[in-house]
Amino acid sequence: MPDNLYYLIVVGMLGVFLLIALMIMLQVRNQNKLLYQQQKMTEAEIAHQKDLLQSVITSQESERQRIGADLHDEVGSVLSSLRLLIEKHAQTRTENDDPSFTSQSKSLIDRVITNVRQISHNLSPRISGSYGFFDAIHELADTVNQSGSIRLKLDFDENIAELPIQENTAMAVYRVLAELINNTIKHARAENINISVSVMNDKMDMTYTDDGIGFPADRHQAGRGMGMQNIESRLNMIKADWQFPQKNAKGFAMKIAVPLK
Amino acid sequence: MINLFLTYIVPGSVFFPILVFLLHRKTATGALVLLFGYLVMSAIVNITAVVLATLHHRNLWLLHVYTVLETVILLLFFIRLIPARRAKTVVWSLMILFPVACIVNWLFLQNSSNFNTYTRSIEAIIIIGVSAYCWVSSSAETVRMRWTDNPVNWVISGLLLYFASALFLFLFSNYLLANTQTKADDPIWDIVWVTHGFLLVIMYILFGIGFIKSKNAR
Repeated sequence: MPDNLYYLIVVGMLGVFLLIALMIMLQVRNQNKLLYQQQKMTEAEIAHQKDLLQSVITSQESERQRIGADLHDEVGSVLSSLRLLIEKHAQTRTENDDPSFTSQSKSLIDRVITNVRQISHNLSPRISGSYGFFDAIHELADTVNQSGSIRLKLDFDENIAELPIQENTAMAVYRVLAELINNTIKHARAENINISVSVMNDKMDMTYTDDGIGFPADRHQAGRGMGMQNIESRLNMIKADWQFPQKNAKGFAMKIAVPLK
Repeated sequence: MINLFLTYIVPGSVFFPILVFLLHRKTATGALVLLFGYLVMSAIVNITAVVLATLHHRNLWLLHVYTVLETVILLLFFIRLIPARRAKTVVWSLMILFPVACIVNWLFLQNSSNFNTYTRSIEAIIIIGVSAYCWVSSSAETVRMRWTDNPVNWVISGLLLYFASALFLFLFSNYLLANTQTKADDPIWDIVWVTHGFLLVIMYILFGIGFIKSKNAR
């Protein structure tokens, strides 16, 4: 009995169909696997970049502290000794000596000591514990308010003084606030800055607002700035969460939640 | 029932991807517009074939015209997807040579009273080859999205499934036609055409999914 060609055609069609379907499934699996590997590699690359940036920030911070301490301890003490020496020399001066020399020298040395102390403090603000942190923030606010061009208002919770804040956390938050203030002064054309801090359940909630021109409509455009990258890196380092609320409202706003433990 | 499926449901299934395209016309651009053109052409040919069959006129000549139009439009579609210049030249050459081969076949070998098995099977091999090339070249590129999110993958899969599976049918169409009178009562005879109908419906469904996924390609 001869073969039924119809039957062979149907079987042939189904066989090829299954073969192609299998090829498609393999292709799907292969491509998705490839995509997964690419995503993993990209994530690893981003994590590496973040680690690098955090290392840079950490080493920059320790270097600032070292230079600040050296300026304060070494240069400051040498200048104080020089001032004492000039005072001592003034007591033994003769009639031929110029009396204004001593006062002018002391005045200049005092100015240099003040400047060195200021530079040292800017490089490495003395932050240890909650008191030191809030003192540093108050000092920052005073410096901004003294400029007269912008008004910075602080709003702190009374309970904050009782909470211990780790030094690295305090330093990171201080630097973030300093960067935000710097951004407002440089770009926002604002008249007022408001910083409010509250503490609840081992978490410090901080809200920074200004009444300037606000955040760019394109979030990524702002994200590309080095300043914002530094802010995000510092907040990542202390495992803080942040968001930019009221996107369409006037001015800039940032909410930061810092874990204290 | 089988007659209803083969005469109306299978040809009418071409309207599914056409409707999906119209719903996604803002995102379905570039090569997908050419695919839409191919579907519209298929719809017109299908309607004409159904009308001619209803009026008891011969409609096999339509298949000769359809084969040329289908191949040219699908090759235009592939040219939009192929990045390599040399491969594009090959496809352009096929686009010119194939219609010439169809005319020669119609004039000297298989006229309008026969299935164009020679050219139809060559068309299937061309489409299988170019589809496979597109697949391989897209796999070699850097993968940008999940396979299922890429509209072109759905379209090429539909073409590959249909043309590779139906190749046997294209090769033996004249044999089937010659035995229509004697084998019409053979249930396997129906199964051949029903299987072909299902393949066509699957291809159109995959095209529709491709149009739906077109928003991911932007």
